Amino acid sequence: MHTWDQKQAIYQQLADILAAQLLDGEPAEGDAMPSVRALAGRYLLNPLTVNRALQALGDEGLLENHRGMGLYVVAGARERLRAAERQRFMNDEWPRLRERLRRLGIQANQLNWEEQA
Amino acid sequence: MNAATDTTGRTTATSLAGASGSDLLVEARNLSVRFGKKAAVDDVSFTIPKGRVVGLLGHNGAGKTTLMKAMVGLTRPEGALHVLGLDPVKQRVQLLESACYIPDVATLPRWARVEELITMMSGLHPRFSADRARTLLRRTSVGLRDKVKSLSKGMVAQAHLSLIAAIDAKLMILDEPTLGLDVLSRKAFYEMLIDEWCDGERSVLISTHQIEEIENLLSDVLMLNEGKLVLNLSLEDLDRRFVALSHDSSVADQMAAAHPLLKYRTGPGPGGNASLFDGAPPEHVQALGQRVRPSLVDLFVALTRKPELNRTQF
Amino acid sequence: MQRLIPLMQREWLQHRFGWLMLGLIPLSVAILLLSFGQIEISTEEMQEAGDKLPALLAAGAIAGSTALMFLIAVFSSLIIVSNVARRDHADRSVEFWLSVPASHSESLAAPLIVHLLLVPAAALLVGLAGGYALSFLLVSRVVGAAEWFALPWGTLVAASLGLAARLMAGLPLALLWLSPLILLVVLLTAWFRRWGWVILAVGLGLGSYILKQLFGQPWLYKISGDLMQAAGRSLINGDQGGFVVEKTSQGVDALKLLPSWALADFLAAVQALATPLFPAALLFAAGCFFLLVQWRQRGASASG
Repeated sequence: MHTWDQKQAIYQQLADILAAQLLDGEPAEGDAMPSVRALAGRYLLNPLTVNRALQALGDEGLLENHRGMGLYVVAGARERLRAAERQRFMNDEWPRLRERLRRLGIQANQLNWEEQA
Repeated sequence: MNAATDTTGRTTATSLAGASGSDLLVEARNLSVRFGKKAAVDDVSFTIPKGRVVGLLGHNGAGKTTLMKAMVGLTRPEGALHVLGLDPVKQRVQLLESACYIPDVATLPRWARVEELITMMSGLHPRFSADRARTLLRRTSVGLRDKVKSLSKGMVAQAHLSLIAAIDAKLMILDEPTLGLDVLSRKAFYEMLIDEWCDGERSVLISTHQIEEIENLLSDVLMLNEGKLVLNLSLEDLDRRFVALSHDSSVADQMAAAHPLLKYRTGPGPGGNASLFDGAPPEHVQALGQRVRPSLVDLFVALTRKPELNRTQF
Repeated sequence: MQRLIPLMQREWLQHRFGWLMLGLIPLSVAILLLSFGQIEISTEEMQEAGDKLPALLAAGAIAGSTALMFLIAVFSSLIIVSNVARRDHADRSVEFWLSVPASHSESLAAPLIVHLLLVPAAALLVGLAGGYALSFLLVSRVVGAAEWFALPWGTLVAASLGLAARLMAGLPLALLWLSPLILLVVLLTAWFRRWGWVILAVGLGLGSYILKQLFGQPWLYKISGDLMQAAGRSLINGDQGGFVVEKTSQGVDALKLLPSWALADFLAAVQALATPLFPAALLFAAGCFFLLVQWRQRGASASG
């Protein structure tokens, strides 16, 4: 069973997981999201929680409701997500990482951009 | 769910969150069940709308089983109790046609074969579907020709739950259905709970000691302590009302001064302290730590002391 | 009362194997004994019976088999019924049965009907059918198979059906006479488990004796005795001058009279209902049943 951390509300954590999957193209833009029941069964959560997570994604403009057919991934959702993730990295993670690098005394030219073979 | 109950057990203002009369599957008002002088259930009021999974939590002897028995007419309570709009005692048979009760998963008749149980239940429960039961049983390791007495306790529980799930009931009342089951069986049960019973029309009332496991499946929680209802909230409201702050041991004294419900440790090291508050503590206290999600287990510990600890020392 | 049939079906599913054994074993034993055992009929008896012997043998086999299966069924049913309140407590399945949408009355009545009424009735029919088979064996061994085919089947069938009908009709009457005692046992075992038997033995047996001898109050003793006697006479009344089949006397002629005797005997048993003891017994039984429903309503818990 999936373990959830104590920091955030569960629905928020699920929304983050689903967003990460969307970023990977799962499901692809224009495709239907898995049903609430399917998600609830996969993550062993109450469907109400799943609904809240999907609602959160909908509020961010990533999902839209097609009448009678369920939730679908909005066109351009991946780009929007990536932009949001980029923003978050630039604003939160990068300053922290930069601080750490400074503390360790690592210079920018010491960082290997290419992956080691 | 309706009332927010303060921690002394007194019910405060009732506001039915958008649930109309016909949507309420269970209504209890000033419900008490007394055995002699002792009140097993003491002045309890709550409602259960449809489409909910309600956890009934409490220590052994807190009154969970008695409350459930009252809901299916096996105990005569004082106060008002309506289940599916019916009086459980006077209209018991009619109620049991639409409400399922598992008092204990280990109580299938030992002499019967599983397929004989299906035959009997087909005749006894108007809403029982034999095909459904057989389909559900196929997912378990229980065979139709097996005799109950040859099954392990876990398999009896699986069989019992499969049979009950084949009843098209509006309300399921389960008294510790996962007692004695191993992890895989419990997981299978949770999956079945979500698959079969979370359709927005049915409700499930489930009592369990596996609070951590069930927490994510619940939509609402009822907490009993020595017969009194000490918590009656949806999990959503719970996240809003209770504030858990994770903090350093250095600020522990300042935290304690704000009278938390419970102080506990979340991990090793100086940063692993946490304090649980009912309602938001003052701003300056909140700034001392980081807000985390209040877990149901911690709330349970905070709100239901073991009876022995409640008695004053002489 | 719509759950009565499924509840009765439970009895069938739970006990059908036992019933099968209860039927097969005595019949098998009888078949074995008749096939290979020693059959001794004294030469005087054979001479007295003369050419009526085959018929008498057949009648004896049929009557004996019918009566035997009937008695076996009644006896085993009484044993099962006496424990009916507590039988589901050992494996805790009482909780399961209490969560089923059937009324308390139905749940209590179903086993009573099945075991006290249906099972003995079925046993009668089995005994009757088996009796015919046994009669073949008996007659064949004593006088030869040809004689069996030459039997006066009209008379025999009528007589055997008469006997079976008499017992079948008398059974409900006997049960009604015994109902206060039966339901009292069930109630006492519900309240006191195995101690119920002790209380019954002491209360009814010892108590009635003490009342009679020490206090000159014979009513309890008399009532119990009267009830049991009335039950027996519901089955075979005997007021019609007694129907004692002496194998060495009238024989087949007596058999011809059996159906009409059975009817008259039954009517006598019905007439015997017209006494104040009967409604009083029924009232007492109804009271016990009511208390049983109350007991079950309170959760039929192990602690009482």
